[in-house]
Amino acid sequence: MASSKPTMEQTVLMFSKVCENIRNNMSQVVTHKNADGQTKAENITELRMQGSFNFLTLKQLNRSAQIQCKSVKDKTLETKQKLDGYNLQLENLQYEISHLHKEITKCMEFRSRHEDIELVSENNFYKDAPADISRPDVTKHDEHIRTLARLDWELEQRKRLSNHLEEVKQIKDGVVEQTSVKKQKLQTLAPSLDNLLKSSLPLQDAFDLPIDKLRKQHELARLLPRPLFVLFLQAKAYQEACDKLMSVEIDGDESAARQLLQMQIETERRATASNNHNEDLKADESDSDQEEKDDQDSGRGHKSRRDSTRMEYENSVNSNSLFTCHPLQINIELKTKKSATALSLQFHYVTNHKFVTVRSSLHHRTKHSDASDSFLKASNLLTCLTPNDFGLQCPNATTNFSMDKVSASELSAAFQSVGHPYMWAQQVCGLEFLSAENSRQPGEDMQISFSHMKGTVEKLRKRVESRIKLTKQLEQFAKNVIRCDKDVTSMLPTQIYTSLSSWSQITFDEYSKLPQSAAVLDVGLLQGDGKSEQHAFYLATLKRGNTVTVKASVVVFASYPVDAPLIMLLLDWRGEKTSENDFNLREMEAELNIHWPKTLTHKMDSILSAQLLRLQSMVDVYVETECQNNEVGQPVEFPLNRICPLIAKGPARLKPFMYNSETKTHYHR
Amino acid sequence: MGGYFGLFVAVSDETNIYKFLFCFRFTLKMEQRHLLHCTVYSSAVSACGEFLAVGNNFGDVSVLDFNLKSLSSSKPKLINCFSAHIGPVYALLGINNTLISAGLGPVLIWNWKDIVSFDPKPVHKLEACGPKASITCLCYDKKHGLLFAGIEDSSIMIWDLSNLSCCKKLTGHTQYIHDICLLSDSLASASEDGLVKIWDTHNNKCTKTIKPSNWNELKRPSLGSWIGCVASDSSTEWIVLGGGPAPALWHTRSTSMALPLNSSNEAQSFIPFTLHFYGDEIVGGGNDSMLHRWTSNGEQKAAVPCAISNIFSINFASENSLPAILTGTGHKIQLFTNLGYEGPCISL
Repeated sequence: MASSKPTMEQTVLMFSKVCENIRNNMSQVVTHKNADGQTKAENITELRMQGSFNFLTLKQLNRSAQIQCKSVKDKTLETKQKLDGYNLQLENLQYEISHLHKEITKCMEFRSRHEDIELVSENNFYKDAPADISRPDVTKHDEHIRTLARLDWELEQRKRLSNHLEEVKQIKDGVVEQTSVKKQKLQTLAPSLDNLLKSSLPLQDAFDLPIDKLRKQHELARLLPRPLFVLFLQAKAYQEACDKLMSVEIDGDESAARQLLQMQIETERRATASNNHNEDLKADESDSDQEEKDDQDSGRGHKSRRDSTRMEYENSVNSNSLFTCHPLQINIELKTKKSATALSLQFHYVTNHKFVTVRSSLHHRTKHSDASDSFLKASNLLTCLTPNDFGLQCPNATTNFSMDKVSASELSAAFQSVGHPYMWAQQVCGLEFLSAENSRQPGEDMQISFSHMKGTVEKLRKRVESRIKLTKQLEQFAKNVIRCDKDVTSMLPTQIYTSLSSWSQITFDEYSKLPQSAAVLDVGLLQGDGKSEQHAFYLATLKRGNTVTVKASVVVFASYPVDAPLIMLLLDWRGEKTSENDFNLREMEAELNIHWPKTLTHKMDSILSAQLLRLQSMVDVYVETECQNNEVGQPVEFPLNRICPLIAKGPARLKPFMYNSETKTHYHR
Repeated sequence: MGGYFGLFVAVSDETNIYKFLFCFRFTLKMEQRHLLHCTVYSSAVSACGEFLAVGNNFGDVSVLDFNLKSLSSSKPKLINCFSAHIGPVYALLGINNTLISAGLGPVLIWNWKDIVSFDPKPVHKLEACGPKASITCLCYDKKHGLLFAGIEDSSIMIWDLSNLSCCKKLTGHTQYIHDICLLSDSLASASEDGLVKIWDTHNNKCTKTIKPSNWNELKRPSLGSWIGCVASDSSTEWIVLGGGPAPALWHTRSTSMALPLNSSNEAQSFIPFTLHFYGDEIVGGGNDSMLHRWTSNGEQKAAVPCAISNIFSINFASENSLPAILTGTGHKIQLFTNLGYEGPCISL
């Protein structure tokens, strides 16, 4: 009915049309059948024909539908096959992509060795490298090429350097060869030189040349601990530059010092070794075990000898467990120019607490009486060179903590044996405990020592000088004589009636029991803490006539004459009087202890004599003016022998203790 | 060296109050040796009542933070110590916003403001006599603005403080003046020569002379005839005198001895160095380390022991009000917040 290849829609349309037609036919048939007519059969036949045609068309339509269905099926199958092919292709491609990705990350993660190579900086590279390597026109823009070029340059340079190394090695080998040749020569020279030295010794002695001794000293200096080394160096330098009367020497057990140094080096090396190579150490130990066995086999090897020295050393440690001294010490001797007195100082280094102690002794040719001699030899010779430096405490604060448990008597005994750790001694040895040890500059201890050396030596000399002068004064006092220079006596009245009747040394306990001492202790000038025993205490008795007795207690401070002696008075005349109940005694003490030393700052060496003379003259004034108060008519015990324009002054009615030597009158301050 | 850490509150002028705030300051504390031999001769309280100055035998003036309100809870603290005179400082007076010090050499006038700001310098000098002569006592007449000073050369000088000029000089004593005391319109002076003279300040003439050593009840020959202290009551009708002769109450107009002031201590004769009227009683200090108190009819009321062995001055915080400030031998200052018992003791 339609074209050979009708479409599906057309077929459907046609099918519905044919169906319609059949329906119409059928309905016409029904109507015709119902209608009565002649044409009824004709019409029905007609309609039957039409209906048969329609069925034929339906048949055709069915076939074409079947064909169409088949062709569609075929088409679908074909398309499905195509799709499968495409899917496979896609999968392949995806796999390929992932593979490529992997490859890319692999490449990205690739670490080239060149990254570990330290290259010259870019700027230097462009500056130094020749143009054929650097090729700035290309490399400036491409980092890869630039890196390559830089690597090239590195290689070039390394090649050059290795060539240079080779050359230098050759030169070194040459030099080593030369030195070995020279060494051999020297070795042959050494015995002959020794011979020469030995033969020159008598000559040195004959000419009094210290060459050999000096050499020995310098050798020893190498074994000294650092603080003593600093002291030795600085003292030696000071001696050579400024003070010819000083001598510096190293003394002590050289072999012990050598062993100590050896031990130190060993322990240090072991410490570092154990840090770095534990395994090595183990091997070493097994070696030494073997060695020990060998030693036992061969009787006494060098190892056991070393052990025995260590034992010895440790024994020496145990004998004085508190302080361990380095086996070497430094002796410094200070001689005075005229008098044959020499102060010798021994500096020890306490290795376990890291401070320096000093012992002193004084040698002098002229003989003194026993009492004064003991004063010179007294332990307080070096105390208070600087204010409050009693040398009774460890200067190292950390030591003080570890010393807490040690009793005072034990500590003092320990100090007795090794000397006292005075602050000035630490200073001249370059020890300063305030600054942390590791923060110190390498040469700082030398600087500290240098800056204190001159002052300390001068102070020591001055101390000895004034002690000798003090001794002379004390000797005179023992004979009840007070002598003084003319420029002091000229400031005092010529006639002095009060006289010294006794002079004796007393202990601190005795001193603190005297009635006049209470005020001194009260103010805190002396404390009973062991430091006060460092000062010297005397009791002087002065007499005027038969009735007047003055007991003067004298403290000669360890720092004498920087601090003038302190004199306190007890007057026994018409009742006992002290400064507590008598203003005049109070004024006299102020004169003696404050004003008089102030006027005699240039004569401090003879201050004690001057003070006693002044005391005598003031006792005269006291006694004579006191007698003036008597009512007329009574006999006067002590007549006034002097000119006093004013007898009393001020609310306290003080006596005229000042003296004008020009007008020979007494006046008030 | 001693450290002082503190705040002080105010220095008051008559009209203004200047607030000063200082954080901390290191002052020179006296050396131990000086402390040992120290004698404090004089004391004075600033007009504002905030500061106390004491003068010692070395010529130093020490200044203490003296807050009356906190006295019960905290001790006064040393603020400053400066050298004022080359010799002992015998007298100090706090007038208005100035401190007047006298001793060896001229009378010096200081500003409290300068002293507490650690920059003490004398604003004026009143030359009395030679540089070697001392002034032993000072007295201030508030009504006329006159400053009286007893001098070592046995004269009394009078300055007009309004123009700082010397207006008068009273002569008549033969030895140095120990103490002076202002009466209504006259002046009483006690001297080493054993006389007490009463001067008419208008015509500079001595009107009356008393010699206590002539009175048998008072005579103490072994101690001498000198008179060391004189003081009058508020009505100026009565004065007390003491020294070598025993202390006694005197009637001013008739110059007759009214009552001897007895001391109970038999063993040691009491020598007064300072006597004062306080309310209706008489207080005095001397050589026996006690604060003596007498009633106005001459009976001893009490003798209170204190830390100072010889009392040279008794001073009251302001116009006869407590605390009483006692100074003397030693470096201590004794305060009495109540006259019945010993108060806080300050060490210089």
